[in-house]
Amino acid sequence: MTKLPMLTAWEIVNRVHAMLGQPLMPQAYEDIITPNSPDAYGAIEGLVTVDDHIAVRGILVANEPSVDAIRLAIETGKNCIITREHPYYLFGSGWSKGLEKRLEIAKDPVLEAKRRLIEENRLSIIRLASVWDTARPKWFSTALAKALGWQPEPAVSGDSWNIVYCDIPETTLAAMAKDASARLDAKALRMTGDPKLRICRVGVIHGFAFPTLALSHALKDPKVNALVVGSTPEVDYCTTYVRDAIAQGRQIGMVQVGYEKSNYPGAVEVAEWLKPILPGIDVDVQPPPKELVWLG
Amino acid sequence: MTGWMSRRDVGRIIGAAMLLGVSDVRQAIAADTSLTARQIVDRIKRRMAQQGVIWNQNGSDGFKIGSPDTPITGIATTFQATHDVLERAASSKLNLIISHERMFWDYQDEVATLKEDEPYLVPGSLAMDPVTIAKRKLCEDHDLVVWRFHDYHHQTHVPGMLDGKTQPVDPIFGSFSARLGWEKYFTTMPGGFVQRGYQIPPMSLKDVARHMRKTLGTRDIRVIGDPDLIVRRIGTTAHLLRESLERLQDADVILFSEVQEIDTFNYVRDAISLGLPAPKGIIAISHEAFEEPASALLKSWLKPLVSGLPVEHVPAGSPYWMLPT
Repeated sequence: MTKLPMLTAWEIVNRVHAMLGQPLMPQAYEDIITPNSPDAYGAIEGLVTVDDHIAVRGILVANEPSVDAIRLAIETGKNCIITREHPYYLFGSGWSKGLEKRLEIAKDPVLEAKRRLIEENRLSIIRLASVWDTARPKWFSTALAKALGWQPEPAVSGDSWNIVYCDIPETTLAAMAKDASARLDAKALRMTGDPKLRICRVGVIHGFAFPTLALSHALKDPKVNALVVGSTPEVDYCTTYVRDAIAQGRQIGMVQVGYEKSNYPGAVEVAEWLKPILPGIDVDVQPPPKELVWLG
Repeated sequence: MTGWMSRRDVGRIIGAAMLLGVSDVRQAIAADTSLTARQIVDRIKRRMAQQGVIWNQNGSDGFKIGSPDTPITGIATTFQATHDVLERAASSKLNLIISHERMFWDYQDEVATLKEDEPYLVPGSLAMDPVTIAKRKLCEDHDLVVWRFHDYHHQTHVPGMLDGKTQPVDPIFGSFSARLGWEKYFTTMPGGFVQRGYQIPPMSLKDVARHMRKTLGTRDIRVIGDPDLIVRRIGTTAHLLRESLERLQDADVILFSEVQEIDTFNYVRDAISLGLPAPKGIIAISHEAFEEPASALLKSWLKPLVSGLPVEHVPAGSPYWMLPT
């Protein structure tokens, strides 16, 4: 009986790129090291752990390639994880500048232990964040908005921002936050703005809402009266910008639902998208991670 | 302040003159009645020089908006010159705002050039953003001057306690320790980016968090770690993972102010999942909760230097509220 051909991690990366209409990856992984990552830990994105010639038996989709996700992959017989985040905490851009060197210099025990776990189990970890975002800029925010019970309006052609806009039944900022808390099973939401503010149009930005221009862009729509984001900086950049807008009379509020919580709905969609393009490969999404923090 | 002065006013001015080493008291009295922003900042720098802190270059500190030669009618000290803080300062005729943090979000606060921080990965500029324009207009309409006092503020000293002994301490830590009621626990922790922390009597992590919630007056205390973990040694750090690696290895838990979830949270979760001896947890509070007390303390530090002028602390306030539990 003819079996479906096995795919290596590199072949999977290239197939994903091809299906998304993005440029194919070069053969040598060193070629995709970005300016931010000249390090020994591989590229910021793409195939970040080096086992590209092993046939992939199964894929776990997990936004964060945490130790828990890695163990789940191993337990369920999968040797490939497709993620949004870097296994060694290299988020990217200025936020990670110097981190890889510091981890190296410190001979960081967390990094070393995690790397051993990955390498001993010959796991391929594929970080594909910007490729999703470039091809489908509103994919993750749309998934978040739907998880919150809203229907985002269709994107305008040429709009490459990751913000989606939703008209919702009128409610208050506090009630909306409470509803989001229940739907996402998250308690540590942080709100800015008047709890009694009437809300009927929301700009949703998954993940890390940054820089300030992203929020400024969302507020160009004068009808937007709430922003729901994963997380965003407090003092420099975004939260202060929103506070200033509020003080200036803009009727707006913001809810931070948590970075990881905001991205999980997108991971579910990624897994569903992958299944038909990778026939014969077992693809599962990590169960929703428990909220990482508790409130004092 | 012009015209008649009380004996108390004259006494205060003489005190300021002595503090600043001004030998001609008549000159001090005349100068104190009308100070510009630049003159006030010069007095701050002179006072710091007396503490052994020499102002070499501005870095992030310096005048951010308004003419330094503006005559000052009053001073507001604050954690951050938000629009709300500027409005309150203006309404109280406090037209010099000394802000610990920056006022224009992404910029280096170079209002003249509106130079963005690097890297700046999203096309566009906030220069014509309505929030920018309204904030600038507020400052211009009320002749406000904002001076950022951050890097050098951290280098000044105030009376405090460290390692069980009364001695000068960094005002940010000094005021925060006082707010927690933990001055006697404030300790040196060698190595790392921030070499300070708290050695406390053994307490569960949930009790540490509860104590912070009570003393800081906020429910925005996010914790990672076993609530029943016994804590003795609380490390402190700045905000970024790369600044915290050493401390994450040698304290029971680390107190972060404004930590980002994108990397630090994952790092700590992995450490706990791996069963490593450290780190065992973190406590994340807002940046404002950690550093606003220092701006309140700055008022007392500043008052003797500018005896003729009102000096008030105008708090920026917590940026967040939380859902009830």
